[in-house]
Amino acid sequence: MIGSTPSLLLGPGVRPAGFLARALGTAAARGGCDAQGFLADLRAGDPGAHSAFRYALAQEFCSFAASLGTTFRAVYVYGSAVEGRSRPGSDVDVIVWVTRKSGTVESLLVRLDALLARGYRKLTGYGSLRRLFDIHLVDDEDVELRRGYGAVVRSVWTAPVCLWRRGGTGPTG
Amino acid sequence: MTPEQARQAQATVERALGGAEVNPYEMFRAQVDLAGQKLGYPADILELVKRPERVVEVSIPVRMDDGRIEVFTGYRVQHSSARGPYKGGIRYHPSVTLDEVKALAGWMAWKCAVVDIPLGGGKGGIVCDPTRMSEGELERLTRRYTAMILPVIGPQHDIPAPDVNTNSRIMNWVMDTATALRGEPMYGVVTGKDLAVGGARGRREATGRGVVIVMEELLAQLGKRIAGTRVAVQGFGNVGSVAAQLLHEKGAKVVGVSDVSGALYHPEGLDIPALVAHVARSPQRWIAGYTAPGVEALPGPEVLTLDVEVLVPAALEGQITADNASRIQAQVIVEGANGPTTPEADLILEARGRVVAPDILANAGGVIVSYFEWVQNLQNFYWDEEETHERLASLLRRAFRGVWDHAQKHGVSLRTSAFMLGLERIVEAIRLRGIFP
Repeated sequence: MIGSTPSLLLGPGVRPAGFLARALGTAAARGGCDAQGFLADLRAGDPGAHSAFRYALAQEFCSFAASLGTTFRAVYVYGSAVEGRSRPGSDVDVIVWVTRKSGTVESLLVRLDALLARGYRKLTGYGSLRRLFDIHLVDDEDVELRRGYGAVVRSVWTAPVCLWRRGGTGPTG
Repeated sequence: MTPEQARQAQATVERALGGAEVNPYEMFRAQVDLAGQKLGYPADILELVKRPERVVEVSIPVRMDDGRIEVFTGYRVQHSSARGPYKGGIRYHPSVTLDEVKALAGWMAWKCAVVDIPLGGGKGGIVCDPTRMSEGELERLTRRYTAMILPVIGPQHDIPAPDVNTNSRIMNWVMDTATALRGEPMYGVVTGKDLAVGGARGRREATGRGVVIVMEELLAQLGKRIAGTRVAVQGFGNVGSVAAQLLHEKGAKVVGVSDVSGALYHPEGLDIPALVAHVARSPQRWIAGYTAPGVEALPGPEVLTLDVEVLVPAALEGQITADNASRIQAQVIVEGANGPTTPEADLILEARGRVVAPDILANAGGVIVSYFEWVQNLQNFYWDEEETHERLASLLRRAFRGVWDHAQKHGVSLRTSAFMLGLERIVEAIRLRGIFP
């Protein structure tokens, strides 16, 4: 891109190759195979590989959120990625707890997803995937009032997996 | 994961991706979807406003100075004419892509809608490296490109303008070529021309002047005034230097400025007229080498984190990042450049309570005076500079109030507000016109 791109057309500073490579490497190491072999499993549509890759992607997302000041409080993952039944077209179900929901947060996350989904399509060859992350934003009030996905965060029965929480100082999930 | 496993994974992914980069058109589509969902618009309307109305790709054969023929690729994308004729610049650059031109054409439709001028959005580009071309080659490239897109441009249809690596001289050639081929005067086919061939008085200063108008309005909403305000300006080209001069005239203390050669700082405010005179004398038009009592030279990036109330990033995109956003002291940021704030930095600034006047509004002075140039060309009646300044101020103040009020009503940032407002206006025009047939 030329160095005169208007604000909302800019992507986040994340390098998709780095983001996807770290997730691929982590998932492959957990599975005891090399990256090339793991990528072959992904391209073959293996549900176990896709679930492990999505779980690792969610962990990478946590690193991204942790680097951005105080807006993000916690990140949870649930659904097929933790249940081992992801397919090539599955998205990664994530609940993101922020101090306050805003268009700026939404815009950043939408752009991050557009960037990574594009990388994922090229990496795996599954060109029909439209979005990689299905992100549900909740804020302090949602969690306090147990509203929408704010209730899921504290659910006893369907509790999502908390992958990251800011410094232990945020409200408990 | 061991370092070796990490290296293997990186190599595997990089091989598979083959340099997949940010696609600005995908970003544009994602932003429209997001704003559309907030406003409750149906998916079919959003699909309509996301797609360009027309995409033209042309092959441009040019006889080079060494006698061989080189064939360049050019684009003209017409995004939306719902609110008026397409309007948008032409860029010359080796990394121009169709998706980039499509995204920028859409952006122009939004920009014109945000400032409420009766124009739609378009953009053009040629994949070329103008720094490696002679003046004759550039002229032949421009004239052939103009001939190739002439069937789809015109004063009532699509009006190009300068953009990256194009200037008034190139716009003069576009106008002259259109005039020759159509056999009638075509001053209104393009804007950004030189004054003697239909250009507008006050155009060079328009973007910098617009930055100051938006700043004045924003400070007023925050209960402050420009006089006495401490300001830092990053970039000392057409936008930054004009903004700094006007701020100085209005009594602001411009304590820091920077350009590619470094930064200058004076705690009581720099003598901007003296600095402008120094730059005019400098062979490279740089601020480096300027000296005066109390003036301190700093590394360029430090201008962003000076102890000021207002920061004007007027250089390149991506200057305010996640790395420096937490150190920015200014309460107000007025974006004179395109995209100076990364999305991550935007979030950090918002969490710290900083107010950002977004580029789509803050640097719209240029497109507004482009609109004035077109109006004058159509009427063949030319205004004096004072009239241009007054009309620019009036239009931008109204635009700012629209964005501000919309932000208050929806509880969103000025950037989100501007994009939502643009979408509302474009969709409203489509609704009123209906769908042909």
